[in-house]
Amino acid sequence: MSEAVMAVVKPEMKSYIWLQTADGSIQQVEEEVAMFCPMICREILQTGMGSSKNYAISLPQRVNPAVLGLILDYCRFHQVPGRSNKERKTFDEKFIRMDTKKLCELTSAADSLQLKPLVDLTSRALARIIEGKTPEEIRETFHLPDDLTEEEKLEPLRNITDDPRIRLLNRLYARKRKELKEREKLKNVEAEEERVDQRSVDDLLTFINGGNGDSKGVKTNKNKKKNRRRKDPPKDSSNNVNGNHNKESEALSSAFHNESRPSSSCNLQDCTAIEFDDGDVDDDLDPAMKEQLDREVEDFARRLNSDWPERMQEILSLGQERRLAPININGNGSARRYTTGLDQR
Amino acid sequence: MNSKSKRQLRVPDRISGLPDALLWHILSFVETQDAVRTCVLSTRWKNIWASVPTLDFDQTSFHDPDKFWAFVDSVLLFRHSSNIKKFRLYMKGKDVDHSRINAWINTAIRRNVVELDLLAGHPFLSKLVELPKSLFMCKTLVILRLRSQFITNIPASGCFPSLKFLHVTFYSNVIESMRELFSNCPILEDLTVDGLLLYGVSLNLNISVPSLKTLRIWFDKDGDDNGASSYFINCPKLENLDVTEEFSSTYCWGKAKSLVKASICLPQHCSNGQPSFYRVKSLLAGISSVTDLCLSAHCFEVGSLPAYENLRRLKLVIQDCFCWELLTKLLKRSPILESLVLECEVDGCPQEDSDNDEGSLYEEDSESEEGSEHEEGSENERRSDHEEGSVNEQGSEHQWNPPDCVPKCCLLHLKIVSIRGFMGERDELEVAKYLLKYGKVLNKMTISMDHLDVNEKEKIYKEFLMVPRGSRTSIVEFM
Repeated sequence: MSEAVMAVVKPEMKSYIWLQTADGSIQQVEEEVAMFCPMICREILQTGMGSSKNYAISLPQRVNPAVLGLILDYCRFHQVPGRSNKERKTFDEKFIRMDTKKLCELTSAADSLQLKPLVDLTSRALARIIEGKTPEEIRETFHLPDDLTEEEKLEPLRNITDDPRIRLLNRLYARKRKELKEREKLKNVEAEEERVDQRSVDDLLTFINGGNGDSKGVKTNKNKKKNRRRKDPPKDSSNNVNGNHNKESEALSSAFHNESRPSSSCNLQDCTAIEFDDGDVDDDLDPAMKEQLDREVEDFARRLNSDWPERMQEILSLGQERRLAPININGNGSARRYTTGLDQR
Repeated sequence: MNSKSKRQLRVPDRISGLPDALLWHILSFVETQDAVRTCVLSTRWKNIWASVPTLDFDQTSFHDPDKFWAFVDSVLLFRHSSNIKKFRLYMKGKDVDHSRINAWINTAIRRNVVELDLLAGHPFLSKLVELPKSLFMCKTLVILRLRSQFITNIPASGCFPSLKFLHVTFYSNVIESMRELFSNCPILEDLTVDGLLLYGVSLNLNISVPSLKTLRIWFDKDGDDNGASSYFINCPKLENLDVTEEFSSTYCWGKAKSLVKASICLPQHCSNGQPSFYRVKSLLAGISSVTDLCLSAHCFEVGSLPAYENLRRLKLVIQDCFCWELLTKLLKRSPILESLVLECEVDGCPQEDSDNDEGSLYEEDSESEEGSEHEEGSENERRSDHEEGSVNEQGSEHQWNPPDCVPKCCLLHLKIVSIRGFMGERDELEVAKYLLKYGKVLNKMTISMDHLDVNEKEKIYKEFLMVPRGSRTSIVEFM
């Protein structure tokens, strides 16, 4: 039907552009309508094609004749300069009413022709179809293959509650909130505020390291580390950086599904480096200890996700002026010197 | 499962064939909750959500704030490290986790966010969140919308290097530092200031932004106009002004000769006894350089107007209580007016208990005194009009007094007149006929009469046929 519209013979005054779709069929279109498409416009201006049937402009593969008709209808309406916004909007709303299959084709074709306003219009329409629907409904609407395993479908639900990094984050936030509350309380009390602050930050550092229970000195900490080292290698071998990354990206939640299945196992085994104690740790950590902790964090980070140290930094800085030494994951200088042995790669 | 997938294969899905970038674009229009949900659709869709450059978190659909926080944490943690173009965070609940919000904003900034839209906490019940310093220094931020109050410690310099669009929402607990925001944006072009000011609260803003081109002031007020706000606008490049206010505030202008378009909407109907809108004068005075003006207001005292030397297109939204005085004055003061649109709104004014039968006849040139605020009956003329020809039952009480000499614009420039929502009332008819009669260069007059029935329309056609035309080429079009 759209071909017929376009083939209407117009008086000689108008000039036409010839377009060829992937299937070989050629159509002619009024010049000003065709020029509304950036891609066609560029072709005309740069290569001079399109002026006759033999030199028709080849359109991208994603544009078939039917959808080209729709696109040209759109262009024909919108290239007229005098229209009001209301008129354009009304046209768009009517124009976009079509079945999803056609809508997808139209989106694809508009994208290949770089017709941004139409891409936005169709994308928004598709977005409206997607939002608010359950996955089953979406699959139904778009005829998507249901080719994920049950395991893969449940992955996101599991990760959100059990992922150690999420747990770490929660701990840190809770800690920070507590710290802020205490600071509020102590605001009226003179002295000792400084010390409290200091210790809170150190507490955070300790937590990253793995919540050393009741260790009071360097020695004890070292021992603890040794224990952890022994524990970790066998579990580590099952994971590598790539594996981690995949697991991360599979993650996500439907927290809103309200059916989080608590899983006893932790998916990212190497995160046993973080062992959480519920008890508060009120160590007085000396600078040397802090250095060590920084490196621990770095190793941990390297194993997980290159962004992690920066994210940790943000969380830890949390508005405070005192900051950790910047963690360099490329591992020069101090990092190299101190290998925990946890790093298997 | 096998047979099902076979069946599905026969009907190819179209959407998965789209390139990744297009799928991200589509998902950028849905809330992040829905975007993330797509990860269980199929293998193709497993990781699409993770690169969508728009994040839209709205706590409204989460009943449990903890779940919402966990959700946002997870998304930020597990998505790919691609840039975040737009980050929207709406948390309307009372309980606000400050450290989390800070961390989230920092994450967005680290991902080169271009647009930030933040609402944190209940306007009156929550403790205010302090925005991180990194926000002010962010080099990629172009659009910032603060929909609730925040504590802002603005750095001394280097603030908002790329910010072009700023939207600030004020509530009655006005934070001092929020008012400083606009002064610290070196290349700001578009500023929107809105919010809800409760009873008695006044807002005094100093808007001195050298680069500003568009300014929008949209305020709702509750209660009586006891605490009027005042605005000092000193923006030498200002081109567009859009004001919607319940009650008019006082406007002081610096240099505003660049103003091209102004739209003023004062939706509050004032009845007898309420302060008169003398303040509108200060507003109207400042916009005298415009070429396009749209004015929607209920009755107010029309004092002396400045000359609108450049005004070409004028649109008036007319309520029942409209004073035609204003139209007369505007016509006289706009020598090159080309297009006039009158939009008549029905039922915009609340019904009044006591109609003021003998309003004082308002003389054209009297100035409204600054001091008089509660003069009874000092409103615009309201003479009850019992002439026949008034088609509408509401019986408007206005009368159109034609100007003593024909306005220059009618003689030389007025080409287009459009009247929408025409009710066929006596005064409207008089105005239309006047313009038709004296519009010497009038091309077209369009009258749309949606609310009238056929008989009423007939009557009006006849009346118009009788009018001697000022311009031979004029067409009257009834819609």
